[in-house]
Amino acid sequence: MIRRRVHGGLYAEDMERLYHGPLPYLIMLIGAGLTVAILTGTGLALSYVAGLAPEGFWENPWVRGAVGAVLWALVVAVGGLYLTLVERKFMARVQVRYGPNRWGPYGILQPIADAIKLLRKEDIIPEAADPLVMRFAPIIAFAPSFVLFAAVPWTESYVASTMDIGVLFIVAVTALTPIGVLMAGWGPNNKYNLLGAMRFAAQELAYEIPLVLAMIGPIAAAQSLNGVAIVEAQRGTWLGLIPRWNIFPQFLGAIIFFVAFMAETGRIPFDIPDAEGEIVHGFTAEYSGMKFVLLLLIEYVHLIAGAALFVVLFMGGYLGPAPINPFAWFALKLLLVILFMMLIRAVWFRVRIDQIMTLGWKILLPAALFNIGFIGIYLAVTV
Amino acid sequence: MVVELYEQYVPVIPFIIIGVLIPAGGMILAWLMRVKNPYPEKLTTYECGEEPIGQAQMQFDVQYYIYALLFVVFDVETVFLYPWAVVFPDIGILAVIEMIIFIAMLVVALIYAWKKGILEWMPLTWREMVIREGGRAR
Repeated sequence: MIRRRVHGGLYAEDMERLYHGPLPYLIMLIGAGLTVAILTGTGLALSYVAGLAPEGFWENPWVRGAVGAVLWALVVAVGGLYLTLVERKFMARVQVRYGPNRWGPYGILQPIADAIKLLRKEDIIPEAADPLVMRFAPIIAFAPSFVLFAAVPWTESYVASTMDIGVLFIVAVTALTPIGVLMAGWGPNNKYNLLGAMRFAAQELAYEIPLVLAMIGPIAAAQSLNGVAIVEAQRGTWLGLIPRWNIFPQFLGAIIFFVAFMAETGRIPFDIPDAEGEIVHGFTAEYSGMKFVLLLLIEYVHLIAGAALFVVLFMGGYLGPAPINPFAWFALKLLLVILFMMLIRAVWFRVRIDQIMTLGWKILLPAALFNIGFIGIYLAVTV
Repeated sequence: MVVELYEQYVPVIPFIIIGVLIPAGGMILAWLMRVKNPYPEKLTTYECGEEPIGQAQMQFDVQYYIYALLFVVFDVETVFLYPWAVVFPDIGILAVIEMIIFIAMLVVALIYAWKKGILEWMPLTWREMVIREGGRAR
């Protein structure tokens, strides 16, 4: 029998055994345990460090803002980098492939190799393009999607800004991203970019309304727009067993919100703005190098932001039983929602643009309006 | 009041600064590290190997300007709904009924728009477009 050498010293048969035996599941379990331990440890370490500061230090708004911004920047940078690997690996598992496995064990160094490659890549600005618009587009598209984290509560005490209009602020800031994307569509003077940006704008228009309307449920339940207040309103359990998360009484609202934010990120069931097969990755077609990475990163920032919002609004944010601390609970729920979105991406297909518009305007919008009436009556009766 | 606003909104400023610094810093880093070797063929507009015909910065048939009008209508509605959502459980069922009436009026508008066919993506079929351009429909 000829043995085919595929991976370093391993043979194809060994690979088969390695990837289809119980080992992957064992590793996943150990990985999950390690994740919980690391997150809990980080949370404890953070609260220890926070306790060391002099009295009144954390009440200083500049300190809160700066520390929060640096923490979220780390989450977005490392998360954005590593979510690409998690996604590729996870999709490969679902689709019975190996996924990246060359750099480091299980390919864990792959994102770093990608980053170095993309930093070294030549950055082409075509002659016909408008260089200024093309250069500023990634900045203008990226900045708002990062600023919204200022109002997302990590835990009760780790929230950068305790603004009263938290959720409204997030919605308002998110609405600025399409301007950057439209600039990315216009600047390069390329038809694919233009088409992609126009599709993105149409999609944002169609799904903004159901998204915003679905948020009304949790807001009404908490009687506040503040993120911490919305989470605190979900404290406690029904019958001592089911947590009082908004997702249970407001299931319809949760589904509407989930679908709408998935459409706003432009991921696979709704990825017509960057359909590779027809318009060559849409509004990033003419971009290369770092600017391309930044435009891609926006998708992952939106993913993290949307999942964070979903966790805060519907899944009880940082609340959870004691042994795992609140910091870790929030991160775990965030990971769970993100993995669920990746699962959908792995098994689903791209829908047509008219179907997307139909879903947004003819199904989700009436459903969201119905949902408001339903929640209104539910809350008026129960409160 | 001013103190409260100061405490609530000052933390956003570092976020804006870092939100601009991440892309700007990344672009500067890439500018320092990357290869630079442009030549005329590389700087042409990419169109899958075809010679581009005309500009892309042109008058574009935006399909969804009526969507945009509808969007404005419902966006203004949410402005009314948010303050309502914060206070209505205190007022009780009366506030809910009032809001349902308000929403019902907007639903009538939505139904009208629906019947008018402006919620259809691409209201013109290819056949109609060809006829309008003066060609013969196949």
